[in-house]
Amino acid sequence: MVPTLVYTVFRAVLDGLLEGSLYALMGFGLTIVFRVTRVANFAHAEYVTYGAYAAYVAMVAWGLGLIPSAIVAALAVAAVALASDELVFKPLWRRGSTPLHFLVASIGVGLVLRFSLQAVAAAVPGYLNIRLPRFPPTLTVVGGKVAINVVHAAAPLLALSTTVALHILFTKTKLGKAMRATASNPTLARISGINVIMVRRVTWIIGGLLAGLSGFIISYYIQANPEVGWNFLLWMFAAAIAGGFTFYGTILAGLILGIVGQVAIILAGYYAGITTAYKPAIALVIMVLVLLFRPEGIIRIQSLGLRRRA
Amino acid sequence: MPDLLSLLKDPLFIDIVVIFGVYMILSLSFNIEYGFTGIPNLGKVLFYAIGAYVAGVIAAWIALRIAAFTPKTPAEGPAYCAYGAPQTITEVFKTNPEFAIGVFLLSLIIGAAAGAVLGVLASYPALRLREDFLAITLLAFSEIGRLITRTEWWPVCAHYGIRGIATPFAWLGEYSRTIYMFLVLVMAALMYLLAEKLVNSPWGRAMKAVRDDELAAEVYGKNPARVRAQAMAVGSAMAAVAGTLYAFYLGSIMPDDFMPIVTFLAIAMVMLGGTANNRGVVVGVAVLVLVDRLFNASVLERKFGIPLPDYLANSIAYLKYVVIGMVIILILIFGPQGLIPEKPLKTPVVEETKKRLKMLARKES
Repeated sequence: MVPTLVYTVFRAVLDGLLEGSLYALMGFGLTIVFRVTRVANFAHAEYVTYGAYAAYVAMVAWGLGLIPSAIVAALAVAAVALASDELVFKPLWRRGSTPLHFLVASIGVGLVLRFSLQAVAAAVPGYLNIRLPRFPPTLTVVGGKVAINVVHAAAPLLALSTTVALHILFTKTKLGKAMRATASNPTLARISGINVIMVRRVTWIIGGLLAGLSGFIISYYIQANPEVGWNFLLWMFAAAIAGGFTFYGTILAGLILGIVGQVAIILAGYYAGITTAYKPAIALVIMVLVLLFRPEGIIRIQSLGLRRRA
Repeated sequence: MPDLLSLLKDPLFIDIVVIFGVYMILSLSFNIEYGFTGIPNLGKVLFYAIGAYVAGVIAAWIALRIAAFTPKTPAEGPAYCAYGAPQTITEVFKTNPEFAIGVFLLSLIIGAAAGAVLGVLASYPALRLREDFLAITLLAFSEIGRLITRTEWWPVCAHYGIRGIATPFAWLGEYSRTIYMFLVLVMAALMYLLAEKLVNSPWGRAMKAVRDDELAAEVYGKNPARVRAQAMAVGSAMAAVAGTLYAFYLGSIMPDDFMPIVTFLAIAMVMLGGTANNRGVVVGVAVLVLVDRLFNASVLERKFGIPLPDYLANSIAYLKYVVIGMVIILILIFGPQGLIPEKPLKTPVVEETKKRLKMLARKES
């Protein structure tokens, strides 16, 4: 007879892997944008929300299937991300704003995006809390207790395939190398004849695509409201910071953060009676500790010879 | 003058003026930290909440002591979370003037002290981190604070909040809120004078030096760490005062009143008016408080008789934040200095030199 706690922890690891994949996808977008453009983008959270809503609109209002809805979500958010760069961050960059100005501007962008969506969602009946009408099927049930859902497998696979795709992009293509060059030294990259503007655009599009996909998964398996992205914001920042804003470090840190967060809160509840309401505190505490004591990050993977410049 | 009297009793008018005063203090404190010292305190709302909760806990606890209140049904958390406690608290405010005024002053002092201590503690990361990471850390602090107040019954009644607090003039009856409104205005004016005095003092110049060039400030014998800690202490104490004033006005203190959006509102006010310019802050606060209070379906419909279509009635409260976000973006793109840009230093020596130069010029012509 396997004790119940084992099942609970198993379930927590599964959910943590799912959440961790989301943190990895979101955190990666945050990292790549930060590295190339120096924008610590608070609006990235809103991109995730927009992905969730775009998928819902595509499926419910336009009657598209599952995969087309996911593609619509990714493309729509890529467009939103690109637009926010073209309209806000690029003009700021042109006039030589500091990273702090970028950050404050991204808060402004986030407010505009979040609350315009909230205003629309409040006006249209049935849009305040959404979930795709098709619930993902269960793959198998372990020990009659823990149901493993398709999404539990799909989300980590998505994170993995994204990593592979990005690795190929960064190591094999000219564009990817240009992105790495711009990330490590924008001025030098420009002098070397790299089209920095183009690199910027591609960066925002990649960030947007990944955020859109995570949003799709959220509205598919969990549930979405206009604030859903904001609730993920500190988690994705925690992943990016723990990963030291290195590309692969962020992905790994996101996965670990997801599992650690889920398991830790279950165990804390089991042994110390701490409510799950404190779960976000795990991300916050990890983030603050990393920033205070190892601001360069704890999981730094620099197989590409990438260094974060202080 | 019946018109003026009815205006003074008008709840909307009182609301706008009180919120103006509260946000003015909050924005001035943000300006001291961000504008003058260069600390992007995205956790501002935490210190505001500290002031409010200190006021709520002290007032509720003492009031129930005076009334010798025991909850009829045992409740979670302290007695003031119990059913029937808020009414008792309000009753004590209405019948006991010494208590009402005394507890108000006591809360102001303890709240400001708590804010200052917490501000010094929170300045610790400010010494080690780059600006943008510092901003994220402070935001994380404020979210941890909100999580705790949302979850814990001791001593803050979790999501139920602390209720039943009244203004310190509740025993005066009809005009109590009007009098409190004037008190808030006076406090805001005092804080304005204090902020002006501080930033034009040698210490204020040290803050600007640390903001503009830390290394140079150090060369001239300023300790950037200490200057930052002092700025955070003063800023946080002021924010706590704003929180206390807000708590006594609103009467109930709920965790979700202290979302990061409060910080963002203060940021927008400072940036609109003019970063590192206190006069500008007054303008920014005035404009955005009007936006904040008038983007309200019931106010527009009942007060001004502007009919709103159904879809707008539900969403207008959200649209104000869209406006605030737009303000932040547009200011940053088109004029990061704000409406009233930062003024050059004002010191007795500079003023005297200017005067003499003018006199000299006049003599020559």
